[in-house]
Amino acid sequence: MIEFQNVSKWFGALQVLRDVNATVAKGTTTVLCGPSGSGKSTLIRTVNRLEPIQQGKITLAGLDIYAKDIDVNVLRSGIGFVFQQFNLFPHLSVVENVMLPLLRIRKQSRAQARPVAMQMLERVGLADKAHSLPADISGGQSQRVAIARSLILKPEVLVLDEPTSALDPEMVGEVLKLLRELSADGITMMCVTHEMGFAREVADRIWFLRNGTLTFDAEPTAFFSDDAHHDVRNFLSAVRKNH
Amino acid sequence: MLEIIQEYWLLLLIGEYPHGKLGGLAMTLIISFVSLIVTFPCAVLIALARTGKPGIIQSIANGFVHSVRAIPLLMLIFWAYFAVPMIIGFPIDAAFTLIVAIVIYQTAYLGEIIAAGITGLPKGQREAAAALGLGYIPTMFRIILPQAIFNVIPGIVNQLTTIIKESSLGSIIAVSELSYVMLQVNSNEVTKPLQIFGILAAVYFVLCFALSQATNWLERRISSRRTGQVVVEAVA
Amino acid sequence: MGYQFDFGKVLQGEYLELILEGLQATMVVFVFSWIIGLVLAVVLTVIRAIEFKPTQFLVAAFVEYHRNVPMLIQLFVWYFGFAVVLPDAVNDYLNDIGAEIGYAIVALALNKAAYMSEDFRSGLRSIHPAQMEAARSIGLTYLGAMTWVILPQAWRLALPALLGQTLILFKGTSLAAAIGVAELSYQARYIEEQSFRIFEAYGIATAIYMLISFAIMWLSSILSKRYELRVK
Repeated sequence: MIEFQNVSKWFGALQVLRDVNATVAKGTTTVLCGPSGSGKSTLIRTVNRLEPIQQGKITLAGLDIYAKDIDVNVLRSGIGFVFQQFNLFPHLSVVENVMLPLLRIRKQSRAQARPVAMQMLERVGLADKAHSLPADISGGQSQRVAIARSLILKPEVLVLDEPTSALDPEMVGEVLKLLRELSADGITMMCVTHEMGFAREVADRIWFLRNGTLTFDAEPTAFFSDDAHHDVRNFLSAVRKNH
Repeated sequence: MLEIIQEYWLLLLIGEYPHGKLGGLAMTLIISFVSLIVTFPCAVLIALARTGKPGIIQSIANGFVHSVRAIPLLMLIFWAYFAVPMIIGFPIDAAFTLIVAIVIYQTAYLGEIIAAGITGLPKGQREAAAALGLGYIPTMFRIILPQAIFNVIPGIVNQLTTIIKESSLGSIIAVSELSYVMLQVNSNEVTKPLQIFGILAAVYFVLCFALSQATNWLERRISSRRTGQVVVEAVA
Repeated sequence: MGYQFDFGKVLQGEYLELILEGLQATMVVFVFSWIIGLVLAVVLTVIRAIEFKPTQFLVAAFVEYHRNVPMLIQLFVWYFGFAVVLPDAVNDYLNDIGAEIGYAIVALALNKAAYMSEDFRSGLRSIHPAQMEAARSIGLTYLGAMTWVILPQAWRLALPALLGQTLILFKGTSLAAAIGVAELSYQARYIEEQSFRIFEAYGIATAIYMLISFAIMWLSSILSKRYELRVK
């Protein structure tokens, strides 16, 4: 589904991605983890071209996403992207946030878009908040709305950048529950997270990055086993201490 | 343009002084500074009343601020021009009535700026003072106001710019400040209004632009040392 | 003091007519310079948003001139200064049709355009860059993101300041009296000179100013609440 081939990226003189080679299979969930500054957020941001790459190739369903004839806006509308800070639009109500891609990209009428958006809100369990403003709902609810918004165009892939890191602990569960359900529904998902319990349970593959290098790419059982790479073991013990 | 400056620069700076009345830029600066200095304590009192306990005093202060904000400065100047001599019982220099009008007007605006400084302080400051057993007056004058006023120094300097610009209205009631002097020059010269008002605009610009740069500099200096949030809505 | 109040004298006949004419002139200057100023402000904001140094500098100079020179002097520059640039025939014609009010509208409109464009700009700047990123990642074009996400927030953020400028403009119309526009404060002074009814003439003019100012303030607080942008 998504293939990274020799992907490298620099911020000025600083190399943040080093020769990344990996594949995300259709319908699977890939969890990216690693210490902060390891390049995991940068890597997933290259998938919808929020960050350009300087070397290598990324293909989505066989298409080179950096090819000249690719319309970046069409590409992005085919990829759901969820941010750490939700980034809901504060001037729009919850349902209007979810409707916006239908209205402005699919050019649907409000009458067409509203029931679809309501259905999606139903799906994330927030139909009762449809007419609230983003300022009036909790962080966990905001993130579920953001996920609903990112799914409304039925994207090929859902990409999430630390979706629970900005949440109070008691709200992490509701978002992870939703992600578990989406994963079980068979959506292709890439998720940066420090939630190792979630990774163990849901991920089909786990990628571990360190200093811009993909040092470990394995199934969860291998990742959490004692003979995993020592970087991974160090990381895991650090994560456990912090939680 | 140069001939005008050569011929009138002294008039522009100090008016007809020492042979006649002081005027020009010197007069503008004197009127502006005196206005700001007199306004300051009035504004502090208004700010205290506006941020204090609800009651008759607060209502009066609210009424004052809202009313003054609803009246053009020019109308206040007209009122002061006639009412001040009537109230004090003898004729008085027009510059004095201009200052009275500006002080009344600016008390409302500067009062709002200082009030914003007071309400922007963390609640803990007042609670800590209360916990020490300080009464209202020492709490306000020793703890709250020193911090509040420090925080809004840029706003106060900015009001000086506003006052300098407002003092140009003195030309309408024949106060011999900068604008009035140049209007006189214009009626002497007749044929060079663009140059004359260009020079006048340039003098104000240099003065006010320098002050607003100073305001920005102060804002940067102070915002890093500020205790609490200050939000002042646009006033002019 | 033996002063007998007589509002009746000012509130009838010729004087009443003068006051109403004055009010009309005040409202004409206010409404026209507000509309022109707002449209120009949007244009200036767009020009300044385009990354091209010379035009950005020109807009910045325009803004700084209008912010750092008294509004009264800006009126003088137009009224006294602009006339010499024009041919005599044009000036004669302009004087015949009472061009003062036109100069007043131009000067006030340009002044407000400068202030309002600054309000728009700071509204734009206070929107977090992540909003643009989120809009683009949905698949909106730059223009689409501006139209549907950024600008709807920017004008809401700028609204309280714009409403403040509206009140300042309304009061500022009184300065037009200084270049001979027969608006409300001009008429008040004229009536006072003719009738010696100082308190009545100024009292009525002041009351009218306050009434309209309060209406603007009241409307401002309603609109500010209605369109407040709450960001967590």
